[in-house]
Formats: sequence, structure tokens, C-alpha cells
Amino acid sequence: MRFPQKVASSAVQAELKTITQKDVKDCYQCMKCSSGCPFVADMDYKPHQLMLLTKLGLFDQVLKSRSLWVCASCLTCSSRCPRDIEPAVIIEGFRAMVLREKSDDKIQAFHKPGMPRQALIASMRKNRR
Amino acid sequence: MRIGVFICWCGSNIKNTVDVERVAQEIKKLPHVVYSSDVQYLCSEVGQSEIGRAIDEHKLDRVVIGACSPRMHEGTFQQVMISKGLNPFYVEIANLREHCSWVHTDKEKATIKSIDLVRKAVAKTKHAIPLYSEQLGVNKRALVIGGGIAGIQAAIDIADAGYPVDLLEKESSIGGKMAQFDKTFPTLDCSACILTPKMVEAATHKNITLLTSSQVEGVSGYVGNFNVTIRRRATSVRSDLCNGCGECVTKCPKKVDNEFDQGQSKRKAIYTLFPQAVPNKPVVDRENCTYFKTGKCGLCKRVCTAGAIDFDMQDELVERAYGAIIVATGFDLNKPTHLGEYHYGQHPDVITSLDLERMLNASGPTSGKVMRPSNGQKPKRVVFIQCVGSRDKHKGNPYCSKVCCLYTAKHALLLGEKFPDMESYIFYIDVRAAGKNYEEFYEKARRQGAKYLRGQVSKVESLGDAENRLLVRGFDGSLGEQVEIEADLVVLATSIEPKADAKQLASMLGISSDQNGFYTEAHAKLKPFETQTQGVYLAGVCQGPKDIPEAVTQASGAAAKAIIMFNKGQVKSVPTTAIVNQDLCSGCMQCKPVCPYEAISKEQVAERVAGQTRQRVVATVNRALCQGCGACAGLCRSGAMDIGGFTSRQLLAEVDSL
Repeated sequence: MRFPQKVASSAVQAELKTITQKDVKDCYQCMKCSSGCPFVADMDYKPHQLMLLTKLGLFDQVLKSRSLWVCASCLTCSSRCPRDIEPAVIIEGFRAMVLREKSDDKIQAFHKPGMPRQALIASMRKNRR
Repeated sequence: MRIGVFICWCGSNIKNTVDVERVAQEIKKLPHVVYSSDVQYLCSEVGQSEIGRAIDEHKLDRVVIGACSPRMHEGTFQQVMISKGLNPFYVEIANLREHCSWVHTDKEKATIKSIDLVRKAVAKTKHAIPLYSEQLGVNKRALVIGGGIAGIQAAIDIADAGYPVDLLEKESSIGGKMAQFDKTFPTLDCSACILTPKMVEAATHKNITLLTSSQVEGVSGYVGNFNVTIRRRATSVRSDLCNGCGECVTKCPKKVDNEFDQGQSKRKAIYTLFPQAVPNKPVVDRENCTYFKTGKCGLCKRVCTAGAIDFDMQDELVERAYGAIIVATGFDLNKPTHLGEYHYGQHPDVITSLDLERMLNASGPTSGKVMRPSNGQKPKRVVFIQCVGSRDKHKGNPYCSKVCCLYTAKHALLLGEKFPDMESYIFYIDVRAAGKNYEEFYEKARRQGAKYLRGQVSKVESLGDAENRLLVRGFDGSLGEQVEIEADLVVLATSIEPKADAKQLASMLGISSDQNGFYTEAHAKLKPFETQTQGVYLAGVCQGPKDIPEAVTQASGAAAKAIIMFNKGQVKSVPTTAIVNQDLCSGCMQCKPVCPYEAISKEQVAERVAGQTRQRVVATVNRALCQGCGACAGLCRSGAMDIGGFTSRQLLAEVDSL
């Protein structure tokens, strides 16, 4: 890979920031997320790699990846991330951006108290319910 | 003679491999051994009182210990002897741990070896002679070599304690490397702002004498009584007359590469080191001054209204006496031209971290503006490369330079603040942020946008494009692929190295350096600023890479050692030194040239032979200078020279017992 690369526009980066409310820049590549992910064997980019790609602004590679849809939102990575970045939240943030774009913004935010938001949305997305 | 033997279990360290009870029983059979026991922890208070009790009950006059290395507890057991009124050199220690139980696994053989070792010690102690320390007077004046932050701190502490200090500095101003920095991590304090108050304190303290433009020429003597020859270099400026107006510097026509700015700017042949220099008096660089090279010019002398320029000034050699010496000579930063893969020295936009630091500094070559050296443009993409020449067994230094991870984070932060849309990439192997608030500082750099890529850089080369940019080829371990970055500026975190003349100074002072050239401390853990030479202490990076708080800590520690010595006013000499039996000495003086400490000299003794008084030459040892190396004793043909605590009779008795 050669830098400079095509990076996501500041608008898109800001959108991800708004959805996730997390700062990926703080990631220090400890790889704890990948080491605990139960589905890492089926992923092309592992969770820590997705975090680095996000940090570098290489959103295209994240959006084209298999990993984005293999992620089960089990939240193992989020519960263990020492920087409180919550990789599952970042990944769901990307999924949300894809859905918003593809659904012409018809998908609304739904919030049930006590339930992690992205688990609910991931379930709805996968099971169409 | 009544010998008591004590074999230590050392918990399980000795007991697991050596049958300590059997050793004690076997030794009991030797003549003169009246008491023999094994104890779980001899060094503990319980163990020590058991020795004391046995001495009293059994009227022991010699003690043999089978335990750990004497380096651990020789002092402890000697104290027990002293407390019971016995000479401390009547205790002999057999090392059953480092020399036996820790290096063998066969229990039977280790036990037999232990018996041999203790029997050897018993044989040695039979011929022990009592030795007594002398009290040496102490000259209560300290010399601090090096005027950086460590030297300044040490000088201030000793001066505050009420003792006079000479602060020696090779350059024309004190301040050292810290004077070159812009900001310091993790507080981002302006370096000069926190340094200059200390510089002023050192300059104005009534107990501190600043000797700038000076260096050590020779050292002799011993702890409490060092004689140092100092060369005060001719600056050609009379500091008593100069008022620091700076006219000479302004008018001087000769420009020279400014070493303080890493060669990125020019200074004059007559110059002050930096604006806040202490003392703020200019000096003439005779190697580059036109007057000294050709006899023409002399403009500075003409414009000086105070008449302070003196071209006839000569170097002055000054002899001074000191009780303690603190070495705080600092370091140099390597310029990695020998690592061709980084293109340093071949492309102007490949710079070292110190080059960048000077650029960031408002009084630096670019007045604080960071720019690409090649075209003066602001950089849009900067690549930092860590561990250039450090952690490198192949072509560099094997050690870690310790401070670069943090100062690169600082650089990324400072550049990010100046240029918010600049991208910075940092190629690293590990990020070492072990100090207080250092991890949080690293977080700050990350949050600001510094892109850390774990992987080293293989090559930096010219892109050959219109903007004369660089191509950095590295690797990112996280993504697992090669990464190439088109960079405007490449900053190399190069290796901290000891100064070029560090070894020379070490041999003058009688201290040693390790294989990397840093001065060796007496004990890596517990004596980090003492050396093997009593009275010479270490402070700062000359002992090993460290950050500013560590240098200051070490400086205060070294100062404390000097203050302790001065407060006592006396120093106990080490009695295990060479002793001459003048009755046997033939006066051949073959011993004198082999002594590395020049401790042996000739002496005339008067004797009465056949009714007449005769003068005879014999050798005499300055027992304060002598370090007990034994070279003279080994050489002495008459057997007149012996080492206290290791006499020939003792050593031969050891050999005979085996």
C-alpha cells in the first residue's frame, strides 16, 4: 500500500464519529479485540485491522470487507478493549452507514433501554425482523 | 586458636543442593575448630545473634562462614565481629552458593565441594592477620565535571549543603543538551524556561564557582584528596572586563557553521553559545577566527568599548584539590550517515530529532518555523522513524536510547499543533512509555492524530519528483503488508551515545566504562551513581540513557554521597591493601612500574648494621591509593609485598588444604 491513499471525506469521517461517539485514533494496536473474537477465522480483515484502517481513513477497504458482515456483535472485543474504543460499535457504525445509504434513510434509530443498541440492530439486519 | 564454623542454609538456596549438616559435622573434625553448626538464615538478626552467642559461649577468636557470596554479607558478618570485639578480618567466608549450590545439581558432589571450600576457608583463617582501617582526612570541596542539568543540580545541592563546588564545563556556557531543546515531555514545559532558573542559581550561588571553557587535564590522588589539573582554555575575552554588550559578535565578519544549531545555521567566530548563555560572555573560536589564522582583522577588539578582547590570552593550567568528584558529562546524539538505508546526509529533508528540535526552538535556525530544509516549504506529510541505530546489534548500538519514544510523540504533537492538516506517521518497534504520565502523553499524541505503524523502515530514498520528496518504505505489522509513504520530511530518532572523549576522562579518573562506553556504576541496582573508585560519583546520561527527571534524581543522589563524606570529614580507608615488610624488601622497586594506581614509591630507612647506621631503599605503599589488585605482591621476588586479607601464607594454606 502506498500513501497518500484515497481516504474518506471529512463528512463521512464525521458521520462515523457521530454514530459511534468513539475516538478510533486512540487505538494502540494491542490486538486484544482480534484475540478474543470468536469469528476471526472467517474474517478477511481482523477487528484490529479494521480499527487501523478506520484510523487511517481507509473506509473503502472496511466497507468492502467480509468482516463487516461476519461480525456477530457478541461484544467480546468491546468489553475487553483497554482504550474503550469498542470495536463492535465501530463496526456497527459502518454497517449503519451502509444501511442508511442503501435505504435512503428509511431506517430509523430504535432504542430499548438496557439493550446494547448495535446488538438489536445487527439482529434486525440479519433476520429482517 | 578457637575457630567457629557456621554453615548457612540460605533458606533452600544452599540446603537443597548441599547437605549442610554433613558439611558442619565434617568441618568439626578439623583441628582448632571448636564449634560448628548449620543455620537457616545467617544474615538474619537471628543468625547474627547466634554467631554472637557462639563467640561468647565458646570464646571463639576466628569465624568461618559457609554462605552466599561475600559481596552480599561480608559487611554484615564483619559488623558482628566488631560488635564482639574481634578484628573484622578474622572472619572468612566460603561461597557455598554462587560458587557451589547455584551452579551444580549433583547433591553428593556439591556437598563434597562445599566441605572442600569450607576447609579451605578454615586453612586461610588460621594465618589471618588483623587489619585496621585508617581515617583519611577529606578536603571538603567538590568538583562537578559537566554543566548540563545533572551537573547543575548536583552542584546546587552540594552548595546548598554549605560546601564549595567547582562546576566545570567544556563549552562556553552551562546548560548542556537541555539548552538545545524546545519543549520537554510530558509537561511540554519550555526547556529553557525550566533550565535557566537553575543556571542562574548555579551562577549566583555563593558556594559555586563556574569554570566554563575548561576541561580536566589530569587527576591524581584518592577519595577525599584528589588533585585535579584543569585546563582553562583561552577564550580571548576577559570576563572580568566584558559587559556582555555583544557588539563584537554583531560586527564580526567571519561566519562558521553553528554546532549548537546542528550545523543548520551560522554563528560568528566570536560568539555566545545561545541567547540565555550563562555566563553571557562571548568567546573567540581561534580555529576559525580570521585574526588567528591570518593575522588580519581584529575588528572585535577595535569595537569593544570595555577593552575586553585579549588575543594574547593563553590556556591556563590550574591545580585544585577536591574531596569528591561528580562526573556529569552527558552524551552526544549519533548522526546516522553510516546507516545508508536512511539516506541521511544525502537528502536535506532527512533530519535527526535534534535537528527538528532546533527548528522548533524559537531561537533556533528557523526562528521556530518548521519547514522542509530543501525548499523552506511547510511539510504536509512527515514520517518519524524510531530506533535508528539503537537496539541494533548489526551496525548500531545494542541498547535502547530510552527517551526517543516519548520525544517523538512530543514532536508529533507539536507539529500537529502547528500544522493541523499535516499527516504524521511513526514507524516503531515498541513504544516505551514507562515514566510517570508518559502513557497518557502517548495517548495524547495518538488522539491528536499521529499514525503509529508497527514495523521498521527498510529504505528512505528520493522520489525524484518535482517537489523533491522522499519515499519511505516500511511495514505495518497490523495490516501485515508493506507500506510506502511519500513524505516531505523524514525525522530519524537516532541513538544516544557517550561523548567521544568519555573513555579518556574515565582513565584519568580511574573509573571504568561498559562495552557501550557508558560509565559503570558500582552496582546496577543499589549503587547506581557510585563507581568502583571511592569518591567519584556519576550523574546523568554519561552513566546510561535516561530522561531529565532521572538525571536530576541521580544528580541529587550523587550530591548526597559527597555531602555525607564532607559531613563526616573523614573517610575510612580500605585495609585490604598492599603491605610492605620492609625487613624483607630488597629495594629492587620492580613493584613500582606494575602498580596501575601509582601507589608505590621509594623510601629510605635507616638501620644499624655492624655498629653503623646505614640508609637503605625500600618500597612503601600509599594505602589510600592502593586498590589491592595484587600485581605487586605477585611480582615481589623477596616475598616482602603482601596483600592484607590475602597474604601469601593464607593463599598457599588454601592451596595446601585442597
